[in-house]
Amino acid sequence: MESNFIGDDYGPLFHYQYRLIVIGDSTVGKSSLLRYFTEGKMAEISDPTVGVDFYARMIELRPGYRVKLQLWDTAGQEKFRSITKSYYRNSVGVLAIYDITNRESFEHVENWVKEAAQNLGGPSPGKCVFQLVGTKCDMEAQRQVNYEEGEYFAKYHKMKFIETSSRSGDNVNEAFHMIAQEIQNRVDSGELRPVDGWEGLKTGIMRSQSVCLSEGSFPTGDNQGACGC
Amino acid sequence: MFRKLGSSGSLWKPKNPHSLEYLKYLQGVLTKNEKVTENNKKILVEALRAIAEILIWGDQNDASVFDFFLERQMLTHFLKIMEQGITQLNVQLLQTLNILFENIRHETSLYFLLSNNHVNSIISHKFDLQNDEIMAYYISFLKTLSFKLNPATIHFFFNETTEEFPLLVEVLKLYNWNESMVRIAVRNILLNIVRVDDDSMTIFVIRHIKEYLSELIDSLVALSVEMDTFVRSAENVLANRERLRGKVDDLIDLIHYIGELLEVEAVAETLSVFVTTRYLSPLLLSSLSPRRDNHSLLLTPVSALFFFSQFLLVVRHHETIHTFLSSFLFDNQKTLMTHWIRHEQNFCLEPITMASPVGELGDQNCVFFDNLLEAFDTCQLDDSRAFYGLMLIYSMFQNKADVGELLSAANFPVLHRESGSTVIPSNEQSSLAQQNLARLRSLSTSSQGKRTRAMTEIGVEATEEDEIFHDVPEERNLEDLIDDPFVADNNAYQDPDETGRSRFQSAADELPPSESTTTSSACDSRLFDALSCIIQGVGADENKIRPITLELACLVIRQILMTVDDEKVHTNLTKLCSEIRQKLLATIGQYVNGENLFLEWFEDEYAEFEVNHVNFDIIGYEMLLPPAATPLSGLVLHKRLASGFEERLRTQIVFYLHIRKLERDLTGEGDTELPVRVFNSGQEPVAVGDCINLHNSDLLSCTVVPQQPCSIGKPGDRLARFLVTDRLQLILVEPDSRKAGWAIVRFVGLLQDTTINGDSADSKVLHVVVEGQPSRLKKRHPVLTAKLIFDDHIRCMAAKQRLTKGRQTARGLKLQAICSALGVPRIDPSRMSASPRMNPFRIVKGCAPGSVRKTVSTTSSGTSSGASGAPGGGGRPGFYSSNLRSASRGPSGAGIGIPEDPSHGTSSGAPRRN
Repeated sequence: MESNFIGDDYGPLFHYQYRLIVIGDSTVGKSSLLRYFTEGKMAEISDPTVGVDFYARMIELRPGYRVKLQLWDTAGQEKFRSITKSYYRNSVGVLAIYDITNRESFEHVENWVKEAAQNLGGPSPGKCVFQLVGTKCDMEAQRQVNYEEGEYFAKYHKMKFIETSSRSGDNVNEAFHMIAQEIQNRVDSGELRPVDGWEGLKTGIMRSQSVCLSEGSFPTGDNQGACGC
Repeated sequence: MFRKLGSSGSLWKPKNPHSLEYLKYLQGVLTKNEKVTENNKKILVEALRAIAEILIWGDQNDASVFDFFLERQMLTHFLKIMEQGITQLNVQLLQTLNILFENIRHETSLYFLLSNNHVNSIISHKFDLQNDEIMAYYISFLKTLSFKLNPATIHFFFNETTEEFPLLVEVLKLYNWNESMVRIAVRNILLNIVRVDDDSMTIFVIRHIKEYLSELIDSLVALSVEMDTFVRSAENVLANRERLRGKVDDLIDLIHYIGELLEVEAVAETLSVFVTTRYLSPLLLSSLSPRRDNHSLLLTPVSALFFFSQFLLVVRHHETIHTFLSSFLFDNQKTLMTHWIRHEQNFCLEPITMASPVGELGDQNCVFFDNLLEAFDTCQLDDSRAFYGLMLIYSMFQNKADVGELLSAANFPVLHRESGSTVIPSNEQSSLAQQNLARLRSLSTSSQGKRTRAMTEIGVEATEEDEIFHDVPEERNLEDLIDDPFVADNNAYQDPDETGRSRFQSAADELPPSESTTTSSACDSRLFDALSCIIQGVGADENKIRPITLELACLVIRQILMTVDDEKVHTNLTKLCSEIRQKLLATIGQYVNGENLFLEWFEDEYAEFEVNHVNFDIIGYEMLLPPAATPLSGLVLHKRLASGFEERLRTQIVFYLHIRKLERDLTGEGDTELPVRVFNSGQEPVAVGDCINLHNSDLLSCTVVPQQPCSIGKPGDRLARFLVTDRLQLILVEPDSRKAGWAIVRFVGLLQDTTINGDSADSKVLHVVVEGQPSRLKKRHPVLTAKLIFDDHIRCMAAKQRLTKGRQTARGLKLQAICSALGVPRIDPSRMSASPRMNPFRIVKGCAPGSVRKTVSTTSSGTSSGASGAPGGGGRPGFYSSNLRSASRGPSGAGIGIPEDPSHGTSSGAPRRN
């Protein structure tokens, strides 16, 4: 059931924890993308997300340097707008998703990005990382949004861009690596830093010290799933 | 320190229960024990309990705790446990969820818990609801959830595309549960649901809730009928009153709930129709009109009036009240299309067959309103109906549904322009009477001064504005002056019996330009006649009116008079009051001089009279049972009939006081004579803490031994004090160590309320009991019960004599004052043969001897001559100035106390004026 790899609870865990929020119109494939990323396989067709969902996965940015990604999956339906709004504040990165076979979903990205920008929190909300993701890139035949359009939009808004497929798995891991790396860069340069009371960005070192006091690892059933990389 | 737990062999329990580690440990317990067995049940229950605790702690202290809960998807563990259907675990699970939803403060955490239909699957899970424990936690879980409903969160619960709303659907299944806690929770939950402002949800809700609303009103019918049956058969004793109280509380709770639902736009219309067609019309209105069908289920008029007024006091939904009141005020019996029939155990609503004899009566307009007025006709024999009729009229004034225009169309006096100020919550009713009174007075002395002036000669000059304002009413009055009082005194309207309906309509159309709404309201004179019946009734011999009824009647009359500017009404009412007051006085007057305890009775009843008893929370239900006529019923006198001579006299006194007050209010006079005050030589009475100059006073040294705890000490204390008396007071002082001849007052009581007894065993001892005066807040009660030990027998005798005589004189003075207030001659059978001794002293209120600032003006000879004119005035202690005392001594003749050297008075008076 729960197969995403979070990391050995009691080892030296991770260096940072980033909390990301995934937004975009209903049915663009936010949940599928996240499930592929955390479960490593294509997900069944699912009901629309009701409210929010939560995922987490560890990734290795460079050998021995791990970060934990906490991912809020949000409902794209308009009626949940006021609910999802409250999740921006504690996010350090925003994945704005559209469906390349659905022009409208691309056109709405601008609004999504705007809403996110207005509601981000932390010590320097302006430095939080945005990334544009076009999904369903395996369905070339139904494509309504050209790669270049996405690229142009992303450039214009100073964000990275990638197209993915949650069916084939193309670029799924890359998409998350990309945003994680960008956050890491900004952390390294000092543009982003963890502060008390903000859940967007946290260091993992402190935690590992206190946790190490406990007993050694124990098997937690279904918890030893896929490796992060 | 570390303890192994059950099958979770490799799990170690961390010490700190409030930590992330502990949650990790508990998560381990859950994953290790996915399958619930006999062996791990206890561990799992404890784990679920502890998880709630940690999560709440984490919510407030450590965000990583909830992160862990999210990462490990612990909610899915919960669901897996729930599905196994083990009672003990489900009880704990529901409790844990309840705690979570109730206490989680971070909205992101709360939203997560609500997301993805987990909650809906818990709501729709088939719990074993026959198990009381499960039910209790299940329903409170639903209730907790319902408090989280708002336009944003409603989408977690209600899915408009699939038309699913488990919370509503499941709750509706429980509305008729046999336990009242569940039913009450269901009411709350439904109220929380319908209050959510979401269009598509509202449509869904209305479709599903109709049947419930109808059942709700039927349960109100059933409760009303049950209560009515009880009231018919029960004796007025304490146990029955308590049972009744329970029933009334249930009923009023239900009315409140219906009132709250009516405030919710989504259901108001549907519910309003149900209330009107199932309760108000077929049950209440039917019960307030002649019976048409022998099978109809009707309430006693008393119950119907009571429910009616409760409904008006609580419900403020305009349409409902408007429809109901206009039927009540104007319609005839034809408006009743259906009636309730008893059908074995149940009641059914059936159409009234037209074969039933409607007859002439059925065509009569205003039949229900007439029924209300009839309630007052028989008030002398039984005032229950009159009481609830008054309560209904009062409720009509108090109703907050803004139906003023409707009421004035029925010649029912209401304040339009000031509707804001007439809206007074029921808990402020005590201030209402005073407020009304103040307004009544200001009305009668300002713009409506003409009438008042004519009667009281206050002499307020009529301004031009007055002329304009009174122009039309005066004309009307002139024309109507010779009319029979039973005909409406207002020719702008016709006789209500004939064309009530059309009158209402035309009046409603004309309302804005009508003068009657701008200057004052018209009043159906029959209403006044009805109210006059009660006043008339209390004057009748052997009447069975209870004081509370008269009190309420006076309140209602005042309320009406605030808005009615009708000279004739005022005159008639004043005349009536005066007549009845005289009548009551004739009875009371016989006993003023003869009855030893008259003073106490009068004072007690005056204090009682000053209390506002009109509080429908309490009297509303006590009066439903048949009137009690004995103190054994446990009811206070003003809520029951008098038993015996003393109670009858006390009742008469209260009647007298109410009528007297009403009469004075009508004429705009204040009452300067009541409450009775007897002055202590024109100076203020001494108070505890005062410093008084006792130079040349009669002082008796004694030891005071309190027998009961009191302001000066507790039993067993031995306090060295000096006993002093003045004309009215018994005073115990303690010498002031800083200034010779002065003393500090430690206790003051009235001589009139002092009783003294000797001690058969010890001739130096007096037993003294002093009672405090009754007041609005406190009944008569002993303030000092003490043994006074004097130095020797002679001093003890002297004290006894002084106190006894002082008591006699003080009572005489007080009775005299009462007599002059009532206007009856004072005849003292034991005409003062001796005046009390002089016990001169001087008071400096609240000041220490060193810093004497206060001065008392005593040189006015006007005071002395005024006082000396009174028969009892001879006893004035003439300390302040010698000439005052000698002046008072002159006319009052013999028996004045021990002469005193005038030089003392003048010389010791000097330091006061520093």
